[in-house]
Amino acid sequence: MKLKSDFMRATDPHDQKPKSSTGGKQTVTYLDRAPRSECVEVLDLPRSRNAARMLGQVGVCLHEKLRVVSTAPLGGPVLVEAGGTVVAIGRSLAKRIKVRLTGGA
Amino acid sequence: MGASVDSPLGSANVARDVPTGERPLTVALIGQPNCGKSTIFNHVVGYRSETANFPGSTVAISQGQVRQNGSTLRLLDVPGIYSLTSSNPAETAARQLLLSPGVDLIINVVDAALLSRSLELTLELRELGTPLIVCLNMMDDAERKGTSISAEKLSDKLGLPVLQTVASRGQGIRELFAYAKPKTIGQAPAANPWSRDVEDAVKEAETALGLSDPMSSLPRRFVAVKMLEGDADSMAATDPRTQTIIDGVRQRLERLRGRSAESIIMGERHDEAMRIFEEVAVVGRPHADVRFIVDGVLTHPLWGYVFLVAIFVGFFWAVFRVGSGLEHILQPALASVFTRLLTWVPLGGLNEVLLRSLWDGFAGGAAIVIPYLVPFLFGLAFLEDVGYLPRVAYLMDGLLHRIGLHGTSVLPFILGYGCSVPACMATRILPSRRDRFIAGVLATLVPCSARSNVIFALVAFYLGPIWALGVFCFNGLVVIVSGWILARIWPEVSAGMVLEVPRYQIPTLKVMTRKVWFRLREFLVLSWPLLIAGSLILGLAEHWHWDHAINLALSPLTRMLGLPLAVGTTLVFGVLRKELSMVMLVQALGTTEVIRVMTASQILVFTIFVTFYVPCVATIAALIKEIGRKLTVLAVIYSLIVATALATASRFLLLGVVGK
Repeated sequence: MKLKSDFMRATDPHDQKPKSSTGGKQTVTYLDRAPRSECVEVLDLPRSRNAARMLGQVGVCLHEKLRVVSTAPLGGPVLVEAGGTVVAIGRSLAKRIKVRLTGGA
Repeated sequence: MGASVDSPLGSANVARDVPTGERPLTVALIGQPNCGKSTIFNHVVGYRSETANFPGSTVAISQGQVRQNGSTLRLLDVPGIYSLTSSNPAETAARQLLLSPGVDLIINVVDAALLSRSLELTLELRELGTPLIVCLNMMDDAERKGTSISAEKLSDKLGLPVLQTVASRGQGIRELFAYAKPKTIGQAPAANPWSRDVEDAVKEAETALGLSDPMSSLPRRFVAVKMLEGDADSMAATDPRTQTIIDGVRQRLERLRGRSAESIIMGERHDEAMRIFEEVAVVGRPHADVRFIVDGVLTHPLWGYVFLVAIFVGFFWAVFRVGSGLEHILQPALASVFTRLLTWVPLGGLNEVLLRSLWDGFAGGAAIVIPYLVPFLFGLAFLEDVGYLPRVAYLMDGLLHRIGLHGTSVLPFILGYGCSVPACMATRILPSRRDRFIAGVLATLVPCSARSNVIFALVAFYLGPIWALGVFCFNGLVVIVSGWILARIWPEVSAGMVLEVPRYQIPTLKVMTRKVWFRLREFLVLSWPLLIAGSLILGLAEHWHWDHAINLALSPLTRMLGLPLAVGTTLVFGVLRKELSMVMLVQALGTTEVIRVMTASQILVFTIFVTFYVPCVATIAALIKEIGRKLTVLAVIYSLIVATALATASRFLLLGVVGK
């Protein structure tokens, strides 16, 4: 019998190791799991109005292409390049941004 | 903070040759954060507004008046905003100013290297109908990125005058202000229509607003769009009936598109800005830039932290080396001048007391404060202007999250090493009241340049730089633990950090010198005279034995801390200005050789108490403004408890380490 937790594990991209579209199977993940130097496309943003506005203002919009520059340790932010600028996005927010991996830079 | 004011149209201004009776033309510099507004402002009116290479460095509106082409310009430097929907107090101040009828002309400063994103604000500003010029700044950075922009095409697409500048080098600013005449510019053209469903919704909202338009000075179309975006301020200014109608229009649009109306409208502006960018700019290969390599190292998950520690240790070490070197030269030089001075006045009595007190205040500022303050301010200006601070915020975010804050809060903390007043004001860039309170309290615990002076001039000078570094590290630990405690008392789920990390800039010596002078001037014109006056009062109090009463009243505290009784008075003066506690100590003890009358343990206990206890009067005033009276009282009580507890604990713990 499949438990609810098993089902969740199978569908939540946080529980799967992301691989680049150029060499892997899974291409949809969350921003905090995207590998360094990977280009991604934003598929979904956090539901919170404030968070979506803050992200939109610095160019992190729906269907926008980003490049993951670096990820800070200790649960620190993800550094992405968006529309010609570099933006640090806190890990809790990055966890809620669904992206598609589109290949290395 | 010089000419900074925090109401939309405050009273503090700087006038230059302005004839009385003439109504000045009000020109507002508006743009996204870190696009060079303050640099342009300072170029025109002189260095009045603090600049730094990080977003949110301007948190209050500064104003200055200048004569230009025979007319008077009242120039306003406004905090950076991403849109006309405000999300923090600094943005609210900017928005209130823009929506007030007092602005004759807007100069929209645009970072040319980030043209597509910056145009989103331009499109929104155009909806206001106010005369508008676009200032395409940082053209050199755009070229470095390989982006070539046609100003003519951009002007044609926007229907607005577009002028190019490189504000950091002063290029194009004269031409920009020669053009800044609302009569020649006229009203901004009407905004382009939205896509059909959004346009229908906007028209419906406009009709609903009808004659009951609450913000009658603003174009109805602008108010309608803002209300559809769910802007709380616009909604609050509208009657409930109109609100209900517009809520219905918004919900219908959201059902149709399956997204929030705000994100639909933001998305449309984003698309139009991108469309314009593609038509006016050609993107080529970026020039080879060593800054990318440097950034790769300084934000590296391992090397980033190694360099972070090395940079700050190096910074404080350099300040100590330069400061103590200057102190060693200045102290004996000033002492010999004083000895000569004494030969000219009759010794003994009130004359000598007056002269000695005045001289102690003067020499304290010159030989103890300034030697450390100047290199400190230069170092801080360098770190700010080069753009390293946002990288610190990025690296520290993970750690700060553990104490309930996020990386953006690190900016007020670092500014706090310069002065607690701008640090408290910088909390305005934080979105929630709770974050502002915690960051404000923690920023006052960070040793400002005056308290750092006490650490350098007492601990580093008498016990060695390692002990001073230890005090700074201990302070950092107390800030972290305090944050952890406060975040547990006032828990809140924050939206998380979104911080733009600007490009590195090479700071110019001219700008850094002007910035250092701007900050040093506050010490010279405010603190130093206070220091001399305080020294005089203390001298007279000692002469007439009034200080005994203060020392006696504070004796329970000084006894608990194991400090000499005479230290009590200096702690009272320290609340006025923190520099006073150091200089007053020298005077109260009657010698510049503090180590002869205080033990190493007492020096450390005194320094720890002074580092944490009650913020100075100016900081208390800034805190009241930012977080309110009640929370300020709590912050002051908290600092007093922390200082007393830590200094008392240190008294006993240090006995075993440094002896009596």
